[in-house]
Amino acid sequence: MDLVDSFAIGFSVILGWKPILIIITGVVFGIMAGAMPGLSPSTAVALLVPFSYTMSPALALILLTSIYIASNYGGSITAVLINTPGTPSAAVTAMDGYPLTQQGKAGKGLGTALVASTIGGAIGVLILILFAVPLARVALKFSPADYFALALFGLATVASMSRGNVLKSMIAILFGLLIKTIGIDPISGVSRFTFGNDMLYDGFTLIPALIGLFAVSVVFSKFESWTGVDRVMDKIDNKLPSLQEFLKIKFTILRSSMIGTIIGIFPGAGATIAAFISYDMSKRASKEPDKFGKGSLEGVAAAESANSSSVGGALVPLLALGIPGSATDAVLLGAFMLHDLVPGPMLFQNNPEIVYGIFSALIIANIIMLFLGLYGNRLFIKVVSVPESIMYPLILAIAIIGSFAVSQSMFDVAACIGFGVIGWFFKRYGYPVAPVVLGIVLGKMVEENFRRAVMMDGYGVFYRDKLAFIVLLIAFFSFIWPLYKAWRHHRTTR
Amino acid sequence: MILFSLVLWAVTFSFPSEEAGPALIPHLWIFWLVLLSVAVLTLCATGKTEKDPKAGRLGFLAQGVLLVIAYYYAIGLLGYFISSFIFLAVAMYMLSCRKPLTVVLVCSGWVLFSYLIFYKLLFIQLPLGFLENFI
Repeated sequence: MDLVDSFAIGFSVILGWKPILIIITGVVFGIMAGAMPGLSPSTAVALLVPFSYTMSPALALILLTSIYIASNYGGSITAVLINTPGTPSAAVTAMDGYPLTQQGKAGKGLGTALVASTIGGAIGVLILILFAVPLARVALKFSPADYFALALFGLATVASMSRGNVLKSMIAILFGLLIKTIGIDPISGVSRFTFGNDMLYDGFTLIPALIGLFAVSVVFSKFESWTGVDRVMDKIDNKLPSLQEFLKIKFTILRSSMIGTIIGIFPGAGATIAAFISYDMSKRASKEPDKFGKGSLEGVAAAESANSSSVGGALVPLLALGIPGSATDAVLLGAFMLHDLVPGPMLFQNNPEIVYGIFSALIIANIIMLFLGLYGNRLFIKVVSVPESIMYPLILAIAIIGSFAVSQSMFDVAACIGFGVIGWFFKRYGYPVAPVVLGIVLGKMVEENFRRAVMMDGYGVFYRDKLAFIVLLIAFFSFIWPLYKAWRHHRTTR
Repeated sequence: MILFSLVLWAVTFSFPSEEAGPALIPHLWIFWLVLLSVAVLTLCATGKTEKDPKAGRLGFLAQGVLLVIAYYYAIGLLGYFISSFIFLAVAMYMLSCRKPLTVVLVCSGWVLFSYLIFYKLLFIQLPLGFLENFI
């Protein structure tokens, strides 16, 4: 089946009032969730996974990927208007977006962010299609040893690229991996760490754990730092940039989109790193580098096109290999599992309507995002101005009903609350929660492939299999290098 | 973390011992987890790592967590809809939202939304408590 036929199947899935309505819903929710400080794209997607439970797998994933792409843009709204990034990657947008608001040019900042996000998102999707399809074909020949090595590489890069303490990131990953060993062993059928509780035979259900770690923990952290003062949004002007201003930043948008997509492909790099790197490169390449940080449209465009295009890049390893490239991808992987689907090369063969449906939906979602952004920004701003004293109780209510809905079990609700407390504890002491989720999501893949490879060919398979050996070597250095760098830094500062 | 790992390590002694058996991977993760946790502990003890953050409103947080736990138990007793109304009202009051009309509108809006979307549209069998005879 060639690409054109595949796209015909993909578009047949999304053309119709129901899929289009789902994409619009996803984009609207994504923009609003992204705009709310404290709600990251992964939290937004995790909160909506239970809503997709009774949908067909294709529609469910179309909804979730639409949220994913739109929430990256949504983060820029509050970044530009009140200097409070809705998402971590929007922190870079705030550097030039907020000075524009201070100069009375909020509309220009928002307009630039919207157009750059749309173009960046479209380029990311295009590269996703070009990379994912051939990569999936190659991946069909991978052995269990190769898959083990790739999963370990994914975990290694996440640990090494996480900001702050590398040791703590590694501990978080190992904690997630260990949590995943709870339940019936998938190979021997032995019950592990269930302590006689039958609810634990299948281990912890993934979605309640994700909702607890990403959403409930955010509310608990907010409780701890609660000041009793809700944020206030000023009235804004809505004048968009002129066509000439857009033409002046076209190369910045194109360059940053390419950088964002490529960085997004590497597991663990993510939107924030993409935004920082492309902002820096755009500043170096700019004719007016002095304006950066003082309200430069180029700065806003560089950050936004990079963070939006990184979504397409991050979906490459998820769809082609089943390895999540970011925390949001880990949540999406959970959604695939909820619908009995396994991302990877076989998905392209067995369920092309889902893969190409997602590709087509991402293209349409970008176009819808542009129109909704142009005409609906004022409304979104009003909606996200909802007081935190209402928003946080509602997040808890959604989290509770969402974790119950997956398997209609109160045990899952208890697990969600428990993971919420664990997530708060981790965040409080500087342990990131995203690696815990990646550990839980990739744990089964790592264990099954490692033990299958050893059972089939013994431990020697990891150096006899060339691909596995090379990837393991890279993974090893990915683990060691940041530790070595931290040690060197410590020695020089002493 | 170390204690948690060691408890799980002790449990693995009951697993059948075989090559690439069920204890292999848990042993591997526990070994590294303990090793890295000891490393972090050593860095803390020698003052080579950042200090713990100052405690925020831990009492307020404890109230919030207890409220969520009470909500969990209330769902079993009163059913989802009534307990959600009460939970939202109390949580909003706790977070200084004191306008009665806003509280009633938000709480009843959420109950109506969850009834229509989850109970009617998605067929999620939410616990009903004593409302079972009426819905």
